[in-house]
Amino acid sequence: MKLLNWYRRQTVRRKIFLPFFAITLLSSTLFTVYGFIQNVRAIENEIDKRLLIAALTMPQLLPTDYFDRVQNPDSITEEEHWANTRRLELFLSNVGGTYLYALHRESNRYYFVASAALDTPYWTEYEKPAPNIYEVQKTWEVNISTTPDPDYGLLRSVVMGHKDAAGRRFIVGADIHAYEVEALKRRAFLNFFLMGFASFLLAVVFSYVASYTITQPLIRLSNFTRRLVESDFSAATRLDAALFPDGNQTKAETAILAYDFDRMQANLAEHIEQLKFTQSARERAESELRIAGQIQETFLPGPFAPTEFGGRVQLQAIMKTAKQAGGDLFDYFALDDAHLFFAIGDVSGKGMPAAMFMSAVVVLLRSAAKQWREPAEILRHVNDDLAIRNESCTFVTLFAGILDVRTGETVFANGGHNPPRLRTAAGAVAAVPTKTNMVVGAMDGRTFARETLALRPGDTLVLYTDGVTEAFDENDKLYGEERMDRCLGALPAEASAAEVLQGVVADVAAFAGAREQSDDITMLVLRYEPAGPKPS
Amino acid sequence: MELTVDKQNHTAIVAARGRLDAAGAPEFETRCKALVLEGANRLLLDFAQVEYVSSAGLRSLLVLAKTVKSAGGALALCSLVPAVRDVMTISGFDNILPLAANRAAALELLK
Repeated sequence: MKLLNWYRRQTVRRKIFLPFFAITLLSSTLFTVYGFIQNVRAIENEIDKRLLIAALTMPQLLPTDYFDRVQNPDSITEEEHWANTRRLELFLSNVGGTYLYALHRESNRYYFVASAALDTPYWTEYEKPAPNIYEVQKTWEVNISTTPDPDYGLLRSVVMGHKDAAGRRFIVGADIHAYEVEALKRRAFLNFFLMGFASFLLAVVFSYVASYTITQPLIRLSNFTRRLVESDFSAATRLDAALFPDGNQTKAETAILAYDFDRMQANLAEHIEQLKFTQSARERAESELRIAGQIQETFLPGPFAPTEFGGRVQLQAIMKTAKQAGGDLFDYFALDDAHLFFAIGDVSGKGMPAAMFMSAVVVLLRSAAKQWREPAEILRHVNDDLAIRNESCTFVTLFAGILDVRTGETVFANGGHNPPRLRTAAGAVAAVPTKTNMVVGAMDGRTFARETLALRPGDTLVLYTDGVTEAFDENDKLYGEERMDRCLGALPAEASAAEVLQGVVADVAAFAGAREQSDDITMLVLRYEPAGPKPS
Repeated sequence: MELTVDKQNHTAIVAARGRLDAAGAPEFETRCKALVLEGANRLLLDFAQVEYVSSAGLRSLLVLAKTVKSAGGALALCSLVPAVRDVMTISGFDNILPLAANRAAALELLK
């Protein structure tokens, strides 16, 4: 398990190379050991066969009656013995062996009667015979053994019996020094070891090169990917095309991977470029909208001074724009010492077009108000000015009024706007009844009804846009007129214009909760104060 | 905003569903304009399933009214829910757009 985990963490190259290395090592070792063992057996068999042939052939190399003539130390001439010895020595050197001899046993002593050794005269005593000499006499069968000779050392030896014409038994033997056998075995081992090692080395070199060739493209791809990531994908360099010489028309997976990677990089670069472009375009658009919003605010009037009209009018207005610049507007200014002009409006649509249209409306409204001083007429002129060549069909809902501060008499006209709320001094809340008129700017040549409202001291007029009543909460529910009316009714009777405004704004904000504001929230609150001693 | 169109000769009955606001109005306007350009210069807009119309929606209705007018046709709305009818009344659109209680009455208006 530990080994497996270790293996998993290795590089692909090692993953390929290590098993290959292990298998090669194992197979080379097996091959060497098995081959060596087989060869050792063959060597031993071969040597035994040679010794056997030498021992069997020996009597034939001597004169036919030779053993019959072996009777005593003088029965064979020295001359004949050395002639026989030379013949046997020549034979033995051709067959390969150390000793070749015939032994005669007499009174439990052993005498060499024939030998391939040039230093052994006829009838030399074999003083300390090797154990196999006694062994062969038990059955007179061929004895093949490795036997320790007290004088000649360890021998591989073949001994057998040989009968002469008279039936006397001689011992014929052929030996080889054990160290010569060992030398042969050592040479065989060296041969096999060298062959095994060479094949192992060859396989290892091959697998090393193969693992390199296979993994090299992957390593290059991986290095390239890292460079790309570290450079935030802005690396101008492309992948080496040599990694995919045939494009994707190949079966080589790494080449296909490299090809696809290269295309992906190209696409990525393009997308990032596009993204940057879009990002900057959006940022530009957003900043333009923000600036548009700021310009829009300059079209709105500044705070109403509480000292105007001798403190008979409190006026508070607010415009909370949504994320996008919108088309809400409000306006107020004194026409003369006794007349206050006020208006609220909502341009259809949102964003830059609505903001631009709103600016035009404010400018037209202000100049028309100064010129005509009559709400119905003001709306009629603004309508005609806007409607001519209004291809976009953008329009504005407008409520405009003129308050006579001395009497509370208010003349107004409503161009398709939400009816304002009237909150009496007693705290009762109701929609101001208005005749329905067309929105402003949609169609030229339309007229607007002139209507009046008598404000009594303590009355509060609340003008608003649908951004207030159509604010959503988190469950997509609308704030609605009813909720607004309840909020207005719950405020204390003596609440100032600022308190009324803040009350509704806070109520809407509490209602909306975490829900993002979707439309401009605009309100204008006007409270008509009783005539009294001027505040000192 | 979902639109189901039933077109017969020069009359197209468009059953709208959802909110006709800043988000839905552009698609509504484009599809209805396309119908007029295809020859259906009599548009019957069934608003039974329209729960809300914003000022952007009113603007697109105004655009459509002008489009059918220049194509020599007519436009009518029917089956308005109370909230939408209120918007039409407050904005004065009921003065320029024929409103009918149901499809049959609206088809009469278009004749």
